[in-house]
Amino acid sequence: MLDQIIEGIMMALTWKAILFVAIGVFAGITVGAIPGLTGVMATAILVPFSFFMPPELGIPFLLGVHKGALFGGSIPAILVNTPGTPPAAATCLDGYPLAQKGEAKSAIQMSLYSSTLGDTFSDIALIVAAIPLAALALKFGPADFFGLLVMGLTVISSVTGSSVPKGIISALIGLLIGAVGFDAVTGAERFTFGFDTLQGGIGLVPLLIGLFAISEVLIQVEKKLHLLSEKPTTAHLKGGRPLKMQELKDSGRTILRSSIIGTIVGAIPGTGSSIATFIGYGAAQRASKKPEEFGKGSYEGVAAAEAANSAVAGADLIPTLTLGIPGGGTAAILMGAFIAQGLRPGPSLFEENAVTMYAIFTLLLIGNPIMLIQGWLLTDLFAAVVTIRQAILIPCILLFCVIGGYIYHNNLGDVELALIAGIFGYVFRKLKFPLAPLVIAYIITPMAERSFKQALLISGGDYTVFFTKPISLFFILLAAVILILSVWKQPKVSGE
Amino acid sequence: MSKLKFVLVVVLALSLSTIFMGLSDSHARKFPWKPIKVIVPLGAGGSHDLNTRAVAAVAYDYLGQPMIVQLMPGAGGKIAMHALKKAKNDGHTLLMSSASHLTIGPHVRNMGYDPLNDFEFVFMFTKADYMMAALASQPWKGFKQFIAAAKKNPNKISYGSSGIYGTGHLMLLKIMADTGAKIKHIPFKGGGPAYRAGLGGHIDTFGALPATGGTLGRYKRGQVQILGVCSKKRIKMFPKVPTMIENGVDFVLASKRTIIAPKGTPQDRIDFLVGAFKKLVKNKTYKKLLKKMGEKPSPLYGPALKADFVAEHAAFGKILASIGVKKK
Repeated sequence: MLDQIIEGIMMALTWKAILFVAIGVFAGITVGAIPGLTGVMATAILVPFSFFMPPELGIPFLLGVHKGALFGGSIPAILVNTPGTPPAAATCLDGYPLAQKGEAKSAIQMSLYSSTLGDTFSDIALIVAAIPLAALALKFGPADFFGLLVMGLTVISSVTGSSVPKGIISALIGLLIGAVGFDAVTGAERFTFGFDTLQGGIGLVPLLIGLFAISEVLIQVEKKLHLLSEKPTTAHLKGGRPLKMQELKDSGRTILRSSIIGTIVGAIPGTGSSIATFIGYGAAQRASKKPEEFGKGSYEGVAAAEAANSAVAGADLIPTLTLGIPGGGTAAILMGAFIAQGLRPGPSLFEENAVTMYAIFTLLLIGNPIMLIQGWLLTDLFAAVVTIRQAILIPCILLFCVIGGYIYHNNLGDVELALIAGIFGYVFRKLKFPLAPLVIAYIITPMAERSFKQALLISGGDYTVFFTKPISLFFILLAAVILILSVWKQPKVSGE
Repeated sequence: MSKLKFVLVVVLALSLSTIFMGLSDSHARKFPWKPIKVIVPLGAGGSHDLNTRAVAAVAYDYLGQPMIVQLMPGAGGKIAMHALKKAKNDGHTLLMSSASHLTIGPHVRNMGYDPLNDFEFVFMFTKADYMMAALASQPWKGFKQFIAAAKKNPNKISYGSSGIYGTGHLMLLKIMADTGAKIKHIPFKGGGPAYRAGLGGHIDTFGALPATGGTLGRYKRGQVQILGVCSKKRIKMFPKVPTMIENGVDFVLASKRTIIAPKGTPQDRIDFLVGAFKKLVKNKTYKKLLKKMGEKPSPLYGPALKADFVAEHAAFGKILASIGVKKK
């Protein structure tokens, strides 16, 4: 065993392997930073290249892309309120207000540090505890999924913004949007109005592009023409100051909490990083000493979202590698890459390919400092975006929105959807409705509905199933405790 | 005047260029004269995507042009199929189809295309035979005991499928029709989640493919039992597993990675593609890639390929009609 580990580490520590990881991370950050281009697409496009590399180079290369994209997605979220990848929607909530205050650079650095820490945490969890975590993941049946989602919704419910009724209205609209498409259980079409594009539901990427980016563009162009062609008012700050060590320390607990949440949620196949990110964000707000700052430019908020998001990166490989069941979108593609390399994920993967797997793990860990260095070097460059005149920046964003909406599924209908979502988002934000509850409800409710129906189908219509399954019961009790505590403590978020 | 002259030159140049554009599209050029696009109607990273990419990886040597894979998932393949239907039938746009878009979907809902007459069937590269699995720890062993148990306890034993009216659901319907057993159907979103729920013991039976999810390893170490395989003959990887036909269920089902083209694609170009693909499936790199995925080429083309799809279409239509599913 030990000699296999050493052999694996030796295999990994070649300049060539490290170079490939570095290229992968760079490609990932770049792709993640372009709105609409997600890590899923980038890895899908790059998988064929890995076919012709040996596994100990090809796989870490793709893992680098996976890592880089998760951090890269936060960059446009912070700078222009456009989530580069879906989970970065939670980063928009605090990152963009910070950038508008002229603190873009420190916000990006906070995102970089918490991403790297969250990623490292989950990589270690993968290496050390993959087998028990995978066993835990298998224990999750439909009823338990439902329990987890109920708990998640309860935690996230604090993210309503300043007005609770507006938050609830927003969440209910999200629920309606999430209901569009085929009913998972009966196959009936819901709210499709005869449009083919709507049959598969409203896509996450076009929806987010519209709600965040296009609505932002519309809000910006309201300004008087001369304001658009002038340098932004915060331009003289050149993206602002670097992050203070104290600010990072203050978010230490938040980063750790989000890393744990991201790792556990990531290890359960079928949940995905968007849910982990919002649960991490909601939990941070509940635990924070300054919950009122959330949504208005809180460094803790950025740290919470990014640590949870990146902690999924290592964790969603746990079910992928040990069970042969992908944890999420990118993991599905990575699993394809493993299979194409002859590394067949499943219980026997480690027995058959121990040395290669240790080499891959070593490079997975090395990827983190590489990302830190690259991100650190690139921060100034990215932060310079805030000095660009909006007359130039806005058309560019709009262009990326259209391209991103199209390449999501190579379907023009998604671009139309993004534009409609953009106009809707504009009206929504003008009326001061918060976007976060809408996005959360849209992501969680279809999954919750499906697990609810599946659980009832299995139990033969017996509703007690949610209380007799231990995991489901645990989460529902936890949700009840959170609910009672928050009523008892009185919401700290005061009205405006 | 000089301005007018300039305009004249530009207009002349433009009109000349249109002549050349016309030329480039004519049949004078040797097919294929530009990259061949293959639409994949399913998501990234799935076995369908991987199979297509394995073909694309070596296609240049046989086509003389690169093959570009374009993923177009969504709406049960409808968007991709419509994109192919609308595409120019010059042989440069193809689609890697799976059975459900052609032989199931059109029975269930109005897809807006005629699966058997709107497309040309070009070449089948591989197929993965569908299997029915269960945990080995179940009190019943093998298909006969499973059915006996299901008959004894109607609507107690569950089957998790990849989705309503998906391939696995169809297998279940046929099993219930042919044996008279009543089994609970639990639809999941995709085969992966159903498989996971099966391994976790949340559902009793589930679908599996020979090469994915480490099924072979789990079977060998006695974690799962395979109740039957939906192929005409027993398969090499699982020689002891009976076919569904042996089990008394007349059902054949496989995920077929088949290239189709828009209707009216010239026959000489289809012949060219078939000729190239016939050589391609013997390529060492391609075979190596497939072997790593646990698959092997099973080429089928010409009238036999079309007949295969016509038969499957009819068989599935019959099963769906028998449970009263009508096109909406």
